[in-house]
Parts: sequence; structure tokens; C-alpha cells
Amino acid sequence: MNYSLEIENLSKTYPHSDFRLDRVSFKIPAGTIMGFVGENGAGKTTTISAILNTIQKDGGKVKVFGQEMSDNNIDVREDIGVVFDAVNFSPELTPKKLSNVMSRIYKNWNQDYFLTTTNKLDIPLNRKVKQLSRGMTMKLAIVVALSHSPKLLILDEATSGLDPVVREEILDLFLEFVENENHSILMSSHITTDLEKIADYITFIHKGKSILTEKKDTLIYEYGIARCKAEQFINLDKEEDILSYRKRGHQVDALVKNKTVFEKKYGDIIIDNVTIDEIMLLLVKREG
Amino acid sequence: MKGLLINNFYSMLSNVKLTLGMALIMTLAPIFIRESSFIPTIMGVQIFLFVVYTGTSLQADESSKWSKFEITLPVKRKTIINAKYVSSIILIAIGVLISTLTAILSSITISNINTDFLVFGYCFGLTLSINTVAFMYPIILKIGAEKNELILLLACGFSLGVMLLTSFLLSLFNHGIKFSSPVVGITSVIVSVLLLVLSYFLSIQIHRKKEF
Repeated sequence: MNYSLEIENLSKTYPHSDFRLDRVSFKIPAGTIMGFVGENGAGKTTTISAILNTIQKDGGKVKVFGQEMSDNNIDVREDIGVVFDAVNFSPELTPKKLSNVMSRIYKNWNQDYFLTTTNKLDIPLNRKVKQLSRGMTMKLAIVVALSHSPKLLILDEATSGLDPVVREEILDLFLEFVENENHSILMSSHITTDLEKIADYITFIHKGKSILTEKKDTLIYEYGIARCKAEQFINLDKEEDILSYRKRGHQVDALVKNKTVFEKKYGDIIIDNVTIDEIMLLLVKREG
Repeated sequence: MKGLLINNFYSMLSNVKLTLGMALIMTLAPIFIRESSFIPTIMGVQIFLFVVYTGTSLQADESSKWSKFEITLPVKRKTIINAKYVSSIILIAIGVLISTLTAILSSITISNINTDFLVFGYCFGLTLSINTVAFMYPIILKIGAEKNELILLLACGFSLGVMLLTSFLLSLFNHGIKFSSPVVGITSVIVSVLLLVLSYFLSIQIHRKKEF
């Protein structure tokens, strides 16, 4: 299998901080979207910053299209489009001026694509970035990231703070992008419903550790939540049948990896379908 | 690097326009002040004005998080520093061109103008602006642009200090030498250029280790 991005044992510590990125590992197969999920401060942005060399990692490997990421390897960055959670352009620039800048930085800058897509998304070309709404600026950042024909998009909370209409427009662009089987996306987001719509894989990160990477369809269709009464929970084979659990009043919610198998084994326990949000909660707020 | 240079100039465009206007108005000063001893100060200020916004520009890069974003572009960190220094050198060159207009107008309006004053005017402006750039970049890269006004003030003091020190050291060998002597000015410019080179390498080292 070809991987667009391979992260192996990525580690990072900060002086005067208890937080550490602790051997984070995951791989993104070419042609797929990886959702990167975790609570605030879990390490999503640190991981993305370490991938992009904006911070220096303490250990581990980051390979993009099989090549080690380094400051000197500028060719590999030609193939990466990046969007952070805020606008990263000078407020004095207009989208038109920004395209003048980027066309002189990226070898494969596609001015036609830029103009067509800005037009499609109603982004005014001659208005300064500081005069654009957050939705507009995020759309602009995404169009810029897509206009140099990247093969990998790295998005850090790129849809946060946007209304559902703008988010839908942006998600459509991402889906269009991954129609090419060589294109991939790493997308960190708090809005797990967005990831449920478009992601192929989900990686959960908690307290600096990657705790689970799984196909989204497996999570949605095979994982489940067992709603157990206290006495039912006592009788569960916790090692074998559940991944984590959380007490809620007199009930215990247990995350189950295979709801069909679980149902057969414990027919009297109600099993519900699970959302990415619920999985995250059960992994993060676990009591066991 | 071309794209980064264009970005720097687009970001500073409104400030550059304002500076250009002020510097051009100052060009007319010799018509009203027909006293040649003022000319070096006017020329010096005209050149210096163009680097005053260096800190503001770095602060804008920092607050818009462009500083972080540009690392993800297909450019080396060294190229980012190159673009910043080259942008400043171009701005200083524009200042020199504008101050040349002042020099020309002075030669026309003030009879028997002392050429030494004009040479000192260039040297004063160049020393002030080159040292300001040399001082500001590594410091702002190291501690951030939040206190850029204070850093600018310190940079001015540092620049004047370089010139005063140069003057003092030269006076040890030549007792008759004055602060406004072209020898002091030219030596100060040479020292400033050396400090700029040193500052450039220091900035590369700081940026290489800097986390965004």
C-alpha cells in the first residue's frame, strides 16, 4: 500500500510544560482522508506542527510520500497544501495580490484553478484580507492550498468557527480533491460530524498519545455502545469484549468493538450505534 | 525568494507609501531652510524613515501567523531570512535615492554647499538605518515583535552608539577629527555593513531553531 504520510513514534516535549507528544504513530494511505480527533490540548496542533517542521520534534520519523520531511527538502513541500485554524496571510493583501505572491513561490501554481474556484466560492478578488469575513478567509486559505496542485492537504481545524453552509462548500472541495486516488488529506477537527461525512480513517489522540486509528466505516457500523445496568456490567468480560467504559448514574456505557458479536454473547444488553463524538468521549473520559 | 519579497512589499505597501510621501515632502526642505548644516540631518532622516516600519512589518507577520505559514511553503528557512534582509536593503536604497533628490536640490538652492555635509548626510542615514535593521531582526526573531517600538528605540540608540564609538576610536588616531567628518561617516557605514552581515548570520541561526 502507498502512504502519503507516515508518522512513527513522533515525540515532542516543551520546557516548563507537562505536555508531551508521546510516540504518536499513524499512516495515511494514498487517496484517503484521515480525520484527526482529540480534546483541546490533546496534541493535534503539536503533531501537525511537528509534521510541517514549524516546531522541532524530539524524536520519531515523519515521511511524506516516502521522503523524510526536512527544511532542505523543498520539493516535497510543493506537494503539500496547508491550512491552519486562522488566516495566515498579511491583512493588507487582497486575494489577487496573494495569488501574485503564491504564483512566484509554487512551481505548479494554477492561476486558472485559483480564479475559477474563488469565483465559484464568491471570494472577492480585490478586497483586502482584513475586510473579509472568517468564512471568506478560510475559503481563501483552502483555495490557496489547493491551487498549487498538492497531493496532500494538511488541515488544522480548517472548518472550525464556520457556519454549516460554508462548511458544506468546503467539504465538497475536499471530496473533489480526493477523487484523484493519489490525493490525501489529514484533517484535524473538533467538528466530528464533518469527519463522519468525509473521512475514511479516524485517529484519536489523547494527552499526547495516539490511542486508536480505525476505518471510519468500521467505527460507525461495527463499533457500538452497550448500555449496561450495573449488574450486567459486572458480568462482562472486560478484557475481551469492551474497549473502555464510563459510568453515567446507574448505567454504564461500554464501548464495544464488534456489536454483532457482543449482541450474540450478551443478548439482554441494549447496544446503540455510536458516533465519533461518543467514541471520543468514551476513550477520553474512560474510567477503565 | 521573489514571491516572499513581493509579499513583504505588499504587506508594507501602505507604510511605504506614507514614508515615500513624507520623504518627498522633506526633499523640499532646502528651498525653505537655506542652511547647509541641516542638510545631513534631513538626508539621514529620509533614509532612516524607510526602515522605521521594519518592526511593524515583523509584528504583522507574527500576528497574522504568516511567520508560521511561510515555513510550510517550498522555501528554506534561510530564504525567508534572505527575503527579509533584501527587502530592507531595497527600502534603504529607495531612501538613498530620495535623499539624493535632497542633495541635488541643496546644491541648486544653497550656494557653496560643502560636499562633506552631503557625504555625511548619506553616511548618517545609512549608519542609522543599516544598524537599525541589523539590531532589530535578530532581536525580534528571538523575543518576538510585541515590543517592536521599544526595540526600534534601542536600535536607534545602538546605531548612534556605533557612530559615536567609531568617531571616538578614530579620534584616538586623529585628534582633529570631528563627528561630522566624512571619514567618521564612511567608517561608520563600513562597520554597519559588517554588523549587518553578522546580524544576517545570527538571524539565520535563530530562525533555524525557532518554533512557530
